[in-house]
Order: sequence, then C-alpha cells, then structure tokens
Amino acid sequence: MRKILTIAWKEIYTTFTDRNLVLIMVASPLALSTIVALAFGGLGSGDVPIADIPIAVVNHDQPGPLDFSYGSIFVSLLVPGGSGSELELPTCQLFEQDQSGPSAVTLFDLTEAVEFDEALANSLIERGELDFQSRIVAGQTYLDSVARAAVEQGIYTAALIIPEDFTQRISYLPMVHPVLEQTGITIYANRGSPIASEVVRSIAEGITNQIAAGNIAMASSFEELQASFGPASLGQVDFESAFGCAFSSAGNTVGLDSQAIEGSSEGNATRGILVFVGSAQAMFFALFTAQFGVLGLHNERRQGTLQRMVVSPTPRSAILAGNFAGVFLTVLFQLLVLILALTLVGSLLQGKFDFIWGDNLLLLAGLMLAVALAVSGFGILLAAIVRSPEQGNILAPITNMAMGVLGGAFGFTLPRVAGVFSLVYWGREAFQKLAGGDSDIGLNLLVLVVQGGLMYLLGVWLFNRRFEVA
Amino acid sequence: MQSMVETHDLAKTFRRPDGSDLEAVKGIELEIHKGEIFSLLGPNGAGKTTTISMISGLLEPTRGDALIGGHSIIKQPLQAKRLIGVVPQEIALYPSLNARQNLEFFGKMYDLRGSELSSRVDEVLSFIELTDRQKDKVETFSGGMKRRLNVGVGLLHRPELVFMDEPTVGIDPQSRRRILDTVKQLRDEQGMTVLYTTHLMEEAQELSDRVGIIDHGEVIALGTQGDLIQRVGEEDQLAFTVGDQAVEPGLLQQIRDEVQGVTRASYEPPGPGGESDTDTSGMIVIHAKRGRKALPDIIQITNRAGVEIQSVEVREPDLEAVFLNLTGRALRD
Repeated sequence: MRKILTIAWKEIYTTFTDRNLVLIMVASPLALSTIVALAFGGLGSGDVPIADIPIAVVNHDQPGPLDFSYGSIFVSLLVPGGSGSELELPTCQLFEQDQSGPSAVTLFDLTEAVEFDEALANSLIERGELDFQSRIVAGQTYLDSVARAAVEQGIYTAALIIPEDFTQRISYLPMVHPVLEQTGITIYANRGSPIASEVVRSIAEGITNQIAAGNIAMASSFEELQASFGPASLGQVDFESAFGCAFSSAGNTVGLDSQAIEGSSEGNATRGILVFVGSAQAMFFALFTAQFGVLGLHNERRQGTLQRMVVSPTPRSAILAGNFAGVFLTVLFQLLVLILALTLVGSLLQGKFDFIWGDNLLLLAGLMLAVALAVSGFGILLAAIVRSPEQGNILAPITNMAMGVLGGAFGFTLPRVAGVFSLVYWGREAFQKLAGGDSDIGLNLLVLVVQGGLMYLLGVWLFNRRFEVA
Repeated sequence: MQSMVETHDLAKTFRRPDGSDLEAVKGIELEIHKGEIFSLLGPNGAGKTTTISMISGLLEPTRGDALIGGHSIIKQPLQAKRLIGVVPQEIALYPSLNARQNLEFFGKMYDLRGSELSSRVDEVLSFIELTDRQKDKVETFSGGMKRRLNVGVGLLHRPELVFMDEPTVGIDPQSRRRILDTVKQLRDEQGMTVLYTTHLMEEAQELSDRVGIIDHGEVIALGTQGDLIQRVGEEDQLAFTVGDQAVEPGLLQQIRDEVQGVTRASYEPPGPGGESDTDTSGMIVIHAKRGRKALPDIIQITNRAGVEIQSVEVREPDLEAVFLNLTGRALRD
C-alpha cells in the first residue's frame, strides 16, 4: 500500500509542478467558463438572442366567487388564443401609447407558450414525440407529470403549473373571502437551457407580481368602498373599467422588455451558466488529465523509469494501482480547484460571495468522487486501448470532444436521448441539480459510479494484458 | 566459490511484426561468483541486454530460469529483486524531479523509509559527488551527472548484486573514468558482485575478474582473461623501433631460426608520415608465443648485427583478438 501511495504521490507531484500542465488543467476551463458566463450571463452584453422559448402552461385554476380566474389571466398573458383569451380582459387607456411604441417587446416575442391540456399531452405521447411510460410522479396529476417529462426531454424549456385553488386563495371579497392566502405557481425548468430557463422564470415572476399588484389594488378599493359607502356599494362597481389597468397585458412589466431579464435576474443567469458550463468544462478537461495521466505510463516506459520500478521488489499490480490512484487523485484535486475557482469567479461577477454549487456539501463531495472515478475510468480504458501515446493523442481529443458536446461543455445541449451517452452530461446535470438546491442526484451518482467502475476494471484488465514493460 | 547468479537454459524468443520468431538468447548457462566483476562482452545486438533483462526480472524468459542468491527470478521474483541493483543503459530518471527526489522515490520502491532512506540518499549523493546539486532538477544536469545519478539510484539499497548495462555509453572520457573507478570500488570496498555488459573490449579488460563472450544469443567463451587468451593461443606482437638503420633480411631469418617461439618476423622501412608531418621510423615486427621471454634473445641478436634498438613495444593478445579468433569478426563489426 505504501508503494502505491508513493507512486500516486509522485504522479500528483510531477503533474502539479508542471506549470504548462496546470495551465491546461485549471486555467483553461476556468477561463472558458468565465468567458461564456460573461457573454451569456447578462454581464457582458445586453444582446441575448432569445426568442420563441417553448413553454407549457398547465392551468388547473378554477374561477372564484365572481366567476373570475387569475389563472386564465396568466394564460392570456402568455398564450395567444389560449383559454384566457376567452376572458374579456378589460381595456386600459393608460398604456395604449406605450404598446404602439417601436421598441416595445411583448412576451409573445420571447416565448412560444401553449396551454398544455390533456388533449395536447395525449397527442404528444401518441405521436411518439414524448416518451412518458405512465411515470406519474407522486403528488402530481397526470398532466403535471406529462408536462414535467416533456420539459425533461427538451420539448419545452419550462412548464408552469397553476394550481386549482389559485384564484380562490388570492381573491379578496370582504364578505366571502376576506383574507389573501399564499399560493404558488410551479415552474419546471430545463437545466440544459439555463438562459432560456432564467427568462421564463423572470417572465413568470413578472406576471405573478402583476397579478399580486392588481389584486392588492382591488382589495384596497373594496375596503375603501365598503368603508365609505357600505357593502351595497360593491355591487355598483364596474370592475372592468375600474381595474382594467391592474391586469392589462399592456401594463405587464415582465413582458415587457429584455431589461427585466438582465436587471432582476442577471446574477442568477450568470450563476446558472457558470455552474452549467463550468462543471461540464471541468469534466471535459479532467478527461484529458486522466487520459494523459495514464498514457504517462507509456512515457515512463520510454524514459526507462517504469523498467526501473519493475526491477525493484514492487509488484506490477502495485505499479499500475499507484499510477491509477495518482490519476484519480489528480482529477479529484483538479475538480476541487475548479469548483473553488469557479465559486470565486461567480462571487466576483456578482459582487458578493456566492457558493454557486448549492448547500449540500456532502452530496457535492460524493459527486466529485463519482465524477473523478468515471473520468479516470474512461482515461484508463482509453489508454489501455491505444498502443502508444501518439495514438492516444489522436484518439483522446476525438472522444473527449464527443463527450463534451453531448454533455454540454460548450454552452449548448443536445437532446437528452443523445446526452445520456456522455458521462459529462450525468456529472453536469448533477452539479446543476445541487446548485439549484435539488438533492435528487441518485441516478446521476449511480450512472457515474457504475460507468466509471466498469471502465476502470476493464481498463486495468486490458492494460495489464496488453502493456509490455520492456 | 559461492555463486551469486546462476542461469539454466535461459532463453528468450521475440515475435517479429511479420509473425516470425527471433531467438535473441539461446539457452544461456552462466555462473557468476559472489564478489566478482563479471563482464558480458559482445557486439551490439548479441543478446547482452536481453540476458540482463531476464536476470533482473524485467523480461520473462521463454524458457529456463535464473537464480539470484538462490532465489528463482520466476518463482520468487520479489526476494530475488531485493538483492539486485540495476543501472540501465539509458538514463532512467524523472527529469522534473531533483536528484534527491529521484533517489528518495526509487529508495521507497526498495522499501527504504525514514532516517534510513535519508542517510542512504546522503551517502549515495556523496559517493556520486552530487551533494551540492541534490536540489537541482535532473533536466538541468549534464550527461555525465545524469549518468552518475543513474548509477547512484542502482546502488541506493546496497544491493549484493549490481547489473550495469553499458553504463558508459555516450559520455565524456572523464565521466567514463569515474564510472569505471566506481565499479571497481563497489567490488573492492563494498564487496558487491557486478555483472557488467559492454561492447568495449577495453572496459571488459580493465574491470573484469571473469568474462563471458556473447554472440548471436550464445555464450561462446567464458573464463578469466588469461584463460580465454590462452585458450585461443594468441601470440604477442613485439615492435622494435630502429629509426633509419638498414635491416638485412638475414637478420630476420636469424631471429626466426634462433629464438624460441618466434613464428614471424618482418621489417617495415622508414617512410613518409602520411597525414602527420613527421616521418615514421623503421620497425622490426616479430610475432612470438610468450613474447616477453623471447625479448632478451632478440635484442642480443640485433646488437650483434649492429642494429641499435631505439624502443620496444610488447602488444599482448587481448579480448578483441579472442573475439576475432572465435567469430571471425571484430567486436565493432
């Protein structure tokens, strides 16, 4: 065991004392991630080319006592021709001029929302566009589960779920429902499209703010009317003309223009992109570290140091184990350095300390171990397949680029059905989940550990068989 | 004498890329005694490195076995390897580590730890005269310094047996001299057994207690230098410088007839120096068995003939001549 550790330590020491190597291992992914975050996170440029973001709106909301549905208002603001459009939204003279302005950008310019009902859900499944297989999530309706699956599979960037009692809980009527209650709209966002997801989140926040503002306006008016003229006066109010502007889409401050996205959510967008690209880049470069670490055995053979170890009373298995342990630890250390460095970059960009990887440090550590195992396992397998470092130098960039592209290391994602073939995908997704406060990374860990372990064992077996020392 | 290395029918066959077999070593039988310097002499490609690779456990023999201090290199490799120190032909060091780190790393591979490792590293650094450069990276060393460190790594764990595979290849005469002195020191002061491979006859002659001559994967002769030379019955060559004095053919005939052991006698007259500016002197060249014994008689005869001998050079037969005699080729062919 001591000799294994001695060899592993030598690997780590020689790697991290090579300035050029460290530059490639740490500085490159860090620089690339920062550049991407600056370019697309809203800090570096105001021009984020986003349009037609597909959104599914699931509206379970039932009309309140006045036969009025806030959910429908929500839908009407997002979905052209949706159920909300049947509702005659009151007109508002206040915003007429603004609407016609040349620079006005509406929600419809940014999104392509659909009202997601059972007919649409069934049609997606029947046409084979959605692989659902009756996986209804506990505590969710069929429609919610289908919408969630559609987001997971990249059909929609996000799904907004409006609960059944949405209107009921936030309606204020002095006699019938004299209190305002908390309620919520659930957003399922696709982590593969962090920028678009941030846009959707921002839009949803805007609409809910608008509804809340209108609701407060109505509530305070009711109070005032009742206090001044008595309860009977409420029946004489023309709601449409009185509160038209409160709910008018013309006054919708979200849809409003891309400033809302840049202004209120730039920190989140930068953070999301740093996590997305940073984790994938870290894994992408870690693949090279692992491969070249194992290929280093070929170089050791050339420089005679491997033979020197073989003629010492050190079993061949210990030499291989030492090298592989060194590669594993080097990759782990590289990931750790990058995680910390990206946190620093994220904090600097946001102007405040922000540990961008979430609060669950235990799972984060477990994930890093799993990623290091998977990455070094892949490295060992590749090094075992090739006959020389030269072959490895050709094959490694090809396989790694494929892994990187499939896994989202370059700021874009491919459909999930392709991404799952990349260990970068599984690692990156898990990092994103943790960063978003979601601890459900069991499947990711399982895939990484099983995949890494199998490749590790296969690589060791092949290497032991094929690698000639002398 | 106690044997340190024994090989029995040790053989290695390599598979060529075209699928044919190359038998690099053909069933070698060797015995190296404890405390001796044994040289394996042969031209490049004779099988020296393959043999040493098998004995050190680097290559698996196709057949046969080698015993190191009584331990089979195949059945008890770790025990056998503990007794061996290897100085490979090529520099086998980590260029990005410094001299001390290299020694410490390989020392740990031989289970040296803590203060024992530290003191051994100090001793070796002093022995190879690199104490003042111990913190410098190997990549900054000269070729000679790297060679010395390469030797030092092989000696770190005080091996009973040291394999040195052409350790002086490609280095300057000064470093070469230092390494040859080191080899003798290892035997004389530390009692180590040394297996030294070389294609340089001069090195084998200077160092060896016994020599094995290897060619085409076979040991074709083995013994002390004296044994080997005697075995092939080579003659001494005596060269008498006579300046520009005339030498009659009768004098040469008289030497052949009257001096015991003389087989040939010839005269090389003075002439232009060729590439050098000085002219060459006339010379009488005589081949004789046990030439030193014949020397007084030859000088007497030339004196009587009125030819004054200006200088004498006795060239004794060497391993080069033995190899030539055994194979019909020179070592450097």
